[in-house]
Amino acid sequence: MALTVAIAFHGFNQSPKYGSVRPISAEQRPAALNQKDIEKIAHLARLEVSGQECAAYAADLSRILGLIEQMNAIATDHVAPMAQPETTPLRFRDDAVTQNGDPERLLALAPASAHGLYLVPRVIE
Amino acid sequence: MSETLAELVRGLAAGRFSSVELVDACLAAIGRHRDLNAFITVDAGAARAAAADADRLRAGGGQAPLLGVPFAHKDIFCTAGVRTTCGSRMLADFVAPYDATVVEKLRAQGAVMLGKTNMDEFAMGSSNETSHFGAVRNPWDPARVPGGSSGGSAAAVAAGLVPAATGTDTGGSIRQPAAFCGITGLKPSYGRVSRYGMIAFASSLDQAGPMARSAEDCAYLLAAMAGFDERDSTSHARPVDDYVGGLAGDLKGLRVGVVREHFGAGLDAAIGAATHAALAELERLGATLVDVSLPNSAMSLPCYYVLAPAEASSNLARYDGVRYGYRARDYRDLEDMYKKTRGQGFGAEVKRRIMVGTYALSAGYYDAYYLKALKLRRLVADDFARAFAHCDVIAGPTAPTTAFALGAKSDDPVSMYMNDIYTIPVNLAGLPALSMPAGFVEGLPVGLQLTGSYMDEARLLRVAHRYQQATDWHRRLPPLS
Repeated sequence: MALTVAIAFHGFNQSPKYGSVRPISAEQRPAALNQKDIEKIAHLARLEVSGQECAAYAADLSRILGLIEQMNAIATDHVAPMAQPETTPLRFRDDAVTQNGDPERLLALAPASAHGLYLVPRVIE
Repeated sequence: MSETLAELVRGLAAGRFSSVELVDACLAAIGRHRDLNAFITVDAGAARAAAADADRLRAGGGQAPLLGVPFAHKDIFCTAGVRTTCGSRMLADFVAPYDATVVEKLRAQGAVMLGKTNMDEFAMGSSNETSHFGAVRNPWDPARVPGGSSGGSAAAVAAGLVPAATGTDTGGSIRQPAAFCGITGLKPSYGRVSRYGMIAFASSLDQAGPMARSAEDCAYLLAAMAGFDERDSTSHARPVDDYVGGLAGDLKGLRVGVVREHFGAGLDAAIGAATHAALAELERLGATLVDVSLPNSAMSLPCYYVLAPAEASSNLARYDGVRYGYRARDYRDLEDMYKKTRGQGFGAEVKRRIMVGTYALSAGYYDAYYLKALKLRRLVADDFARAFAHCDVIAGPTAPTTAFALGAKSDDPVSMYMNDIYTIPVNLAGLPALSMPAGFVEGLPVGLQLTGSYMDEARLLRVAHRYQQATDWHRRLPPLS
């Protein structure tokens, strides 16, 4: 299919899950975040946040974390995690093509494309 | 337009008016009440054409109940050929190349879409103030919010611009605006309505559902929306109940659970009184009230504000300025392009939630936040299972207050989040729940939330329908100029 695009998307789509915010254990986690924390989190989330916004986000996120910390009031040592309503097992579908992607139509949605490819800034010199 | 959708269904079938007439009346109302800002996009031309088609089909013997009935979609459902913004600058010019399953299903019934309703950006909000396209105003008091995130749908129905609209509900986004605007809204069980083509916020919590004047209206809409969909891996295969046929019946023998924790601190006293009056009405209609407890419900809010942002941070990673949507104009390199695109394309609340989710999932914090929240989610779900051993439905307030003033909570995210304390537990457990009009406090509507056990939508609709036959709260109309 013509829509296989090789120009690196990777940079951002690597999950922020594996990033590190601050090398401390959960037990020592801070009650409040400062501007430096926000800069690191924003980087992991690939969000540009101005210096001024950082201060506001630090205050907001600290408040939200204060709410979240209430979770520690309940012991959950022997509770099994529940990722979604367990009403039906997740289905596997047949490994078959079910949608006919129309490369022209999909590429037309892109901010920049040419020759059947998505265009992004040069990543390899 | 003050008729219920069910009345329009009957009127169209009896030939009392045409779909073209209904659509013209709706378009005129939308034009008169543009100041409510309920719509992001109005598709008048396509609506008129679809209405003419519906009238022709009806003349040729077409009998689908929704054939020719006008309605609106929340702007979170992808519609081929009509832009889908999700209330965001990121998708302000996005025209999806395909239809959501819900869109296909309603079109297959011959329902006529008038346009796309305003909403909080990416469905993140409880006031409709985070929309890139501006706040929606509450038809009962234009200085107040309509609730959110499906605020445009709720305001449009309440103001009579359309008889019905679709909504989505991740933590209360159908029920809380339904309560604030004095309409009926149902969040179905997780897996009952397909999420295919519905822009994802938190995939383990998101559900689409109907918003309209009455439970009977919602029964007609849900009948068209529900059902198994191969394209949604969490779609449930169970056959769809007969929601319209199931409306008949009384409440004799019905056990209504009243949750002790719902009437604690935080609930406006006048809403508490209105809720008790509604419970007394259910009792008068034959139901028995049963005291039940959801002891972990206080954990729902903190639990949700880990899980929903965590899922959002992952889902919204797709907005990278490469394949579709907004791209920043000036940037140095690829990473700078991602950051500027996302920094400029997302509003403040979306960025807050992406950052909370990113933090909760980051190394060293995963167990303390995400895993902890998953465990609490089970405790919340188990509470409901225990309660439903003693009752058939649970009834209580939908929201702790009536609609608040525009701007009143926009500076304090946590106080905004408190709006959803009664609705969020239901999403965590994946259960069905509706909000229906149950009185007024100082001229503003109050909602009663009915929660059912899994896939028990038919019973919820029957209880609400019986209540609405005995009361007229859902018939009251806002004093629009």
